[in-house]
Amino acid sequence: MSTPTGDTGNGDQQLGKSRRRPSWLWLGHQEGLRASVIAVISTVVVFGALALVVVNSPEWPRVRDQFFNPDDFKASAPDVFGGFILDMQMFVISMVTIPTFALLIAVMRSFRGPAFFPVRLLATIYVDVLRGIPLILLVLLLGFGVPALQIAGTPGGALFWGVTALTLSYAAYTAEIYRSGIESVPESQRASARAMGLTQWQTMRYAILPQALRNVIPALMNTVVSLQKDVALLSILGVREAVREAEIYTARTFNYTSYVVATLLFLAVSIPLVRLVDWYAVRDRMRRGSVGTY
Amino acid sequence: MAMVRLDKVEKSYGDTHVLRGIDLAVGEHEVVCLIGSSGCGKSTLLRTINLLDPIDGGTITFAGQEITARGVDANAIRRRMGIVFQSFNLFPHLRVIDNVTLGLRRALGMKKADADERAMTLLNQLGLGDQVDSYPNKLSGGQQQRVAICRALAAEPELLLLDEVTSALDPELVGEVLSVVRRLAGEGMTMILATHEMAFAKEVADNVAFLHGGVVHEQGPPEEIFGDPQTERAQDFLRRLREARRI
Repeated sequence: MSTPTGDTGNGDQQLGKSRRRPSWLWLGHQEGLRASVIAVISTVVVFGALALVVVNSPEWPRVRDQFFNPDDFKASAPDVFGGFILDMQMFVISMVTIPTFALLIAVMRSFRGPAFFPVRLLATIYVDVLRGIPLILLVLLLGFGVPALQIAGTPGGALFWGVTALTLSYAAYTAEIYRSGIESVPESQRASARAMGLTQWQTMRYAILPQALRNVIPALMNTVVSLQKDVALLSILGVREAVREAEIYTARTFNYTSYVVATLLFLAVSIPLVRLVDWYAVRDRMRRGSVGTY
Repeated sequence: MAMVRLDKVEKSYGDTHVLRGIDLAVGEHEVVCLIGSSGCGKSTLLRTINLLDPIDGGTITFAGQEITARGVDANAIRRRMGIVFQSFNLFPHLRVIDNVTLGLRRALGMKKADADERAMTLLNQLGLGDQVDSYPNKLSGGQQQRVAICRALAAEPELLLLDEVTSALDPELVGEVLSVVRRLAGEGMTMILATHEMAFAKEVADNVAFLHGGVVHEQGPPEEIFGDPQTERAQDFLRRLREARRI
C-alpha cells in the first residue's frame, strides 16, 4: 500500500524512485527536501516546548537530582549493566527455546484426521490456558512454586524457572502466529503435496512450513521486540538482572537514577530492534509487491 | 481388464451430494474425457480416484486392488498416480527442478543425483530445459502447467489425472499444454481428463463420459457422444456449447 516515496501513481516515470530501498530510519511518507525541512522545524519546536515545560516545573531541580544525578549514574551503572548482560542472556536463550517449542505446538495443532485428535486437543488446551494466564503470575507460580516442591533432580534456581515461564507463555502466542502462517498457505498446496504421496509430516516440512514461516517473519519479529523487555519481569523472582540491580541501588541510596540507567540500556537494544523490524516489514511488502503474492 | 473401475461412487460435501453413484471403467492405455457443466463433479471425481477426497459410498479399484477399502496405504497408491491441477499448484518456494524432484526424493526415497537426472530428462522433453533454476512465478502459465505435468510424470505413474489443465491459461498458451497431453496419449499413457476443450476431447479420447446430476449420464466413443448423443441432457449440453462456439 505505501512505499517510502509515497504512492504517486505515475507508474513508469516513478519506477526508478519507487524502487529505492527502504531507509532504516523510515518513519512515514517523506516527499522531497521541503517536506524534510518542515519536519525538522516542527520537531524542534514541539520537543523544545516540551523540554521547557518540564525544566520550568516547580519541582524540576528535585526530580533532576532524584532521577538524573550524574554521580548516582556513575555509581549504579556497573551493577545495572552487569544485570543487563544477564537480561540479554535470558533473552537469547528464550529466542531459541520459544520458537522451537512454539513450532512443535503449531504443527501439533495443524495435523489433520481423527487419529491426531488427541494431539490437536492437547495443543489447543495448552494454547488456550497459557494465553489466559498473565505472564507475571506464571513467573511467580513457576519461580516460587516449583523450587518449593523440592523434587529431587529438578533444577531449583529461580532463573531456570523464570526462563521456563517466559518460554511457556510466549510459546503459546508464538504458536498462534505460526498457525496463522500455516493456515495462510492455500489448501491447494497441501493437496498437490499429498497427491505426490508425501506423508502429512513431509507435506508440512517441505511444502507448507517454508511458505508459512516466510509469511509470519514480521509478526515473529514483533514478538521478539516485546520479549526483549519482558525478561525484566524475572526481577520479581529476585533474579539479579538490570531492574533488580537498579532496585537494590535505589533501596540503598533513595535515589532513582539507577532506574533511568536500566531504561536507557533497554532502549539501547530495543530501538535498533524496532527499526530493524520496521525496515524488514517495509522491504518485505515491497518485495512481495514486485514479485507478486505467494 | 480395467485399470480403474468406479462402482456406485458417492461423495457429499456437507449437504451437497456431488457424486450420486458414479460407474466408470478405464482400460489400460485408454484416454477417458469427463465432460459436463461446471460443478457437475468432474474435479471431485478425479480427487476421489487419487484418494485426496475420501468417498462416502461405493468402491474404486485400481490395477486390481480395491483402493477405497479399509487399511489401504493411501500414500503408496498416490505414488502410482499423477495429478495435474487447473491452477498448476506448483510450490512457489522451490525452483522448477526441485518442484519436480520433491516427490521423487521424499516419497520414493530416490537419491538427489538420480532424481535430478530424471527431472532434467523430463523437463528437456517438455521444452523447459533452460528454466530448471527459475522459480515458478517467473514462468508463463503454459510453462508452469508443463512443469506441473513433469512433476506428475516424474514418478512414472501408471495413471495420469488431468483436472481442466488448460482452463486457467490464456488462450494463446493452451496449445502448448494440449500438445504435451496429445503426445502422452500417443505414448499410451492411461489418462482421465476433466476438460472443457471439446475439440481436444473429440481428438484424443477413446471414451467420453458426460457427467450430469452426480452420475455418468451418458458415455461412449467421442464420435457417438459428440455426433449422436442419445440423452436429452447431453444433447442440451452440446447444443449450448455449439451456440457459444465452444465446439
